[in-house]
Amino acid sequence: MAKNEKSKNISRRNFLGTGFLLGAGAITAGGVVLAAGNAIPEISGKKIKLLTQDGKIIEVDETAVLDAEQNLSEKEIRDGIPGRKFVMVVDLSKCKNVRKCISKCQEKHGLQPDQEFMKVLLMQDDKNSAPYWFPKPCYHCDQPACVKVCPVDATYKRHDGIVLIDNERCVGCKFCVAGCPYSARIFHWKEVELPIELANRKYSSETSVPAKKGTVSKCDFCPDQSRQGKLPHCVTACPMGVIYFGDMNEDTVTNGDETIRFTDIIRDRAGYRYLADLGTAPLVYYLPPVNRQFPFESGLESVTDEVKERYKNTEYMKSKKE
Amino acid sequence: MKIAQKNLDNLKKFAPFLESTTTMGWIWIAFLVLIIFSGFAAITYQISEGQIVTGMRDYVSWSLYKVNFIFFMGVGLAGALTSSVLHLVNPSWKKPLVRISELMAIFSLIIGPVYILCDVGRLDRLANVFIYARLASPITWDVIAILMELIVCIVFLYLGLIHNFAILRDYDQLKVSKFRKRLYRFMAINYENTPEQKKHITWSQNVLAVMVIPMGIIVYSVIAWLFGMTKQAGWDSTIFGPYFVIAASFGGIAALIIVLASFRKFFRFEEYITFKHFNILANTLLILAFFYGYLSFSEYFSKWYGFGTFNTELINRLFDFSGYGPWFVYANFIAMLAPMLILAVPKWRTITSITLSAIIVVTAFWVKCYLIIIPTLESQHLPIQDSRLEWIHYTPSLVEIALTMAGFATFCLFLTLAAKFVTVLPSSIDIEEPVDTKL
Repeated sequence: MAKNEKSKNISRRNFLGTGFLLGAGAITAGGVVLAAGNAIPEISGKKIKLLTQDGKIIEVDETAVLDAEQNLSEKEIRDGIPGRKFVMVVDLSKCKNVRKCISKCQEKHGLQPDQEFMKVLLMQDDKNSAPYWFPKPCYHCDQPACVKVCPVDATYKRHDGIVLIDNERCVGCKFCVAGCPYSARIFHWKEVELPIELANRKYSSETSVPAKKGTVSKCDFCPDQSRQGKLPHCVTACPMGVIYFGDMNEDTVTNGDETIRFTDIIRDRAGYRYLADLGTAPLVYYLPPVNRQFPFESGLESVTDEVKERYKNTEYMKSKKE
Repeated sequence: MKIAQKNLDNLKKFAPFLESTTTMGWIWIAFLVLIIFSGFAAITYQISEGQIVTGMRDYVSWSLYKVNFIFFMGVGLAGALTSSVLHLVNPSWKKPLVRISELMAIFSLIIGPVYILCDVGRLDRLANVFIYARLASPITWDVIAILMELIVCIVFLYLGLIHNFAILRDYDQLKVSKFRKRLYRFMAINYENTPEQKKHITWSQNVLAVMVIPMGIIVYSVIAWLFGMTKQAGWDSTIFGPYFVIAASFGGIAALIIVLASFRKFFRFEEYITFKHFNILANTLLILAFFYGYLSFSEYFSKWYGFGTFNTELINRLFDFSGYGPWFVYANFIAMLAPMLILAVPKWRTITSITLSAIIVVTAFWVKCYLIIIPTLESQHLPIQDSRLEWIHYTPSLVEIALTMAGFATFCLFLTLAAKFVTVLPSSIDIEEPVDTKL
């Protein structure tokens, strides 16, 4: 507890004025100032102001700021974004299985329609309890079973809480797939087909693009977006504002429309982590599906027959048929 | 010269196996090679197309390859344990068993890890396992342990063979190619059976035999922990290490019985491999059947009685008689009862019935490996909601079946070829030696 308190204080002291989620810290997070000695492109004369991590404002030439995603060292990627501790909160009372989170995620990560980093499951705890829609990304556990078993350190836990995969190191043993109790991982069973603009991208663990045959992928919490001060694709894609994303150190989460205190909402709405008794310490919290904004059935209205087919073995669908 | 003279009678009997191959022998070898080639074709196809050609999908991400891996490693364990225990205890009847069990162990230990290679998505990056080795991963434990065991077992086998090579080198009448003669000479490393040489070899063998026992147990426990260290309902068990070791010894001893029976039948070793040997192995099988039954019972009984959500789902799946039920009964009940029934009644004890029960036990051990892996992966913590049947329920593909058969064919081929290269029964074998019946 004392330790937590301390780290909170430090993070407050270093607080950049406005939360990065609100966008102000974006430039520092998203840009890398070229160090002397590196190849410097032509100077444009246009200066921009930057805030350093220790709180000083510096002025640099516009061209000195590089696209972060393209130029991060492996160590920077493996260490994570300094000072962050990402967390996701999923409000189950708002989800009506629109599946926009899935399609956006697939589009941005170059996934096939049958490959999902984010899944929306039809959950019903028992046959007397109410069914609800359950969006399930990777939980980015603090005690990740997948990271533990990886023989080559291809999947790793970062200081900002995110669990990533280096698919240029992965040997494809699939131990992490078998070891993950939340079935969060997908394996690339065949040659990966990508749209040209994604296929030509330089690979980064932070984007998980381009994927490679014979390796593993999963939801990555979109750290490339966070570095630019943006929210993960699933968060922005959701028309219901189901998914909140934020930083535990700043104690804020946002779904793009509203920004709330993480501790408040978890306390007030009885937030919980799914199957937390496995000891994996997930970083994804759920708010129970109470006082729902939509009837559960509306989740079945707009989906395709293929998707409906997926739920056919659930108690709910079986009882509906009868 | 001297060494060969001493064993001349036996050598004359064994020499034909080394010198020539019968037509049936050639057909057998050609048949095995054909199966192995289909395996090569299968793995080439898999490497070019990706593992989409297997039955594996995102939920059942381990399958027949892992099943065969634990099967062969189990047979290897039993072979290694048998040969080293026989070496240390040194009963008078051990000779016909020693080399066959050693060969069986080594060939299994070679074939087993190949299945891991079949299972790996990026064979081109295999070096990463050493470059970026992470000690926290059970796979790294496996790599270290298996490599060590393989080396120790090969050295152990070779030490036992030096004497044999020396005999073959000195046996002038042996009609084999010059190259093979030279090979025997090379492999015999100037062994002349002097007391000092004998002492060195025996001492080294003793040390290795002592090492093999704990090492074999550690290796197989580590293999069990590939599963036991995860959170999956069917695997998250504290007894997985000992359970695997007992199950492997059980299945492996049965495999040894089958191998011995085959040699006895096809190589006409009736006068060397006798009912006494089968009887002793059958007793071992019986004892292990009790252990196996006990551990199986405690594993599944506690899972069932404890009625945890995920354990119950798995147990229901295993006892579902339209699915895995019959196989579960076969692997856990019939396999345990078969040796008991056949072996408990002295009248029923014949070489044929013992071999028959061994066949039941070996196949059951393979089914057991299957049941440990696949139903568990089909029972995930989160519901599997998918419209594609092959993603929910695993069915082996032709590629996997071809590679499975290729593994067994390789095992048979290796044994056959070994019998053509060295005398599978130590040529110093003494048929007059009294057989200890106390066991």
